Amino acid sequence: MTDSAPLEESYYAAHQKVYPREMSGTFSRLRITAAWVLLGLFYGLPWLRWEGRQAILFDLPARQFHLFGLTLWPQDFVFLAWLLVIAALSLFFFTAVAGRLWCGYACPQTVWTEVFLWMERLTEGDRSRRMKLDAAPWSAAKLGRKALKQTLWVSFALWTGFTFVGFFTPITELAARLLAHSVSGWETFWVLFYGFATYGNAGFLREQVCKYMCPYARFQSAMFDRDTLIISYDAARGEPRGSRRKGVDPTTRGLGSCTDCTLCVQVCPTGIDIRNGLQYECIACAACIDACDSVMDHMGYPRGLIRYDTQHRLENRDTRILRPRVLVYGALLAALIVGFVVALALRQPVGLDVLHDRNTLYRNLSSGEIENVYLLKIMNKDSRPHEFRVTLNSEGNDDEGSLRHQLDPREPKFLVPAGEVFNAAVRVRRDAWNDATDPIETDEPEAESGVGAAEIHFVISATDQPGLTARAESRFFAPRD
Amino acid sequence: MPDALSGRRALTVLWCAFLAASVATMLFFAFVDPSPVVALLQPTAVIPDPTTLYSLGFLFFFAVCALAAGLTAWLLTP
Repeated sequence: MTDSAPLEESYYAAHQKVYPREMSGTFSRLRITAAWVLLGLFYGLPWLRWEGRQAILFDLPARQFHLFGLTLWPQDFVFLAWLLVIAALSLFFFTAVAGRLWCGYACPQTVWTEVFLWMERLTEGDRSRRMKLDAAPWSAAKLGRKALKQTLWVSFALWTGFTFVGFFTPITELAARLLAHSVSGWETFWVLFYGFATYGNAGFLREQVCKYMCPYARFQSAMFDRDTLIISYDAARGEPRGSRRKGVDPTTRGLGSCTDCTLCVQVCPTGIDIRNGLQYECIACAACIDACDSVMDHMGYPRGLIRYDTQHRLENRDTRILRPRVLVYGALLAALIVGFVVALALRQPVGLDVLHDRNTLYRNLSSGEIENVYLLKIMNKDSRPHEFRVTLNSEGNDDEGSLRHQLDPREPKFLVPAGEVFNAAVRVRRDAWNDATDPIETDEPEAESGVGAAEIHFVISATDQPGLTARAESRFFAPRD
Repeated sequence: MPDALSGRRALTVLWCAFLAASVATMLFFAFVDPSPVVALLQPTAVIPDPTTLYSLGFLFFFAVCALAAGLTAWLLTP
């Protein structure tokens, strides 16, 4: 076939750059405050010291997470998973109650875009200047402004990357190495990687991240119902829209409250028109509320043509805050948080692993006794050093073995520094094996080869803190005649 | 297909792979301690420190996830 097939119609529309207009107002102030607090935490926290070390440090090489006085070990992974579940459920809860609060005020994408936009305004001017500048042919002035903006962006992005790496490697040492030009290859890589991600996401992709990349933006509507607070345009009051001069009574012209000034569209960071109703692109930043309120004030109309409200209220029906969805999310969230706090409070900051000596199963002593050697791995996960006393099955005499097996020396003590694993070798002795009194565990592979095995329990307890204990079981091997 | 669209496909593939690789890296290294591996390979100095292994681990997961996501996107292309 030679004739060409008809070209398929493309649904693809080239991306239009959005130039959000600056707007001041209640919600804008709230958003800027949130940005200051969150960015302050991000850039400031790594520099905070706590008990002689970095307050928040995810020390990957040492496999320890330091959160102020708390040190989490790989064994505490469940806490991290638990925390992530709490975070996800909080997101569901707040979304069900008040819509996309996360997107509008707290999401890093929003916060960093805000900062990059601020730098853009600083160097290229307000919305109309920026549009004019982009449309203008290249000139020395344009080049200068663009270069200045890029310098600010790149510096800020690199600082962000540096701070990010500073959460994983002590930041003061990292800064010192940076000044001495001796930063390691991988640290450099991750600073650049994260810096590049910041630059790309906040400088160029912006609202496209929310529209095309964010999984949450796609499924958040599942948490919505008609009682969820959303940014909404009161069409009943606003329509029919139309321009009019200040002081003209709109009813005489057959108009609603909307003056069709399009300010709400101009301020929108995702470039949508909220008057078309709820759209998945809306990140609920409330910039359009501030814009519309300023126009309503100017016109002498009551505020709130665009406002936080629920679908039910817009339909003049009652809205319920406490509804099954909110109660279920709330109850689950409360239970998880209480459980988390309790589990964290009850968590014993000590761990014990026992390894039987691999080379020698047992030794016959000249006294006729049998000796086994064990390696105790004592983990002190506390933030201060402890001295641990080792005993055998100290909790009552429920196991007769505790009388026969004896530590040598009787009560060895080991000082374990804070946050370290201490390897201690201990010897255990007992009398010769006696089939009459020693139960033979037939599931032991050694049972048939003339070796008896008895279960023993090691217990460690801190000498300065009686409640701080851990136990682990192992086996004692002895020859049978 | 316009170039910009396939560019976006590539970025989507990489982005999804990045998300999945982050999760995989976190789960994997929560249970696997790299220091014995580093100690084992010490004489060859292929992997000088745990940071290198963590980084290589992430890049490995990133590559595998990108392969899966890329194949999916490719096979779904009409």
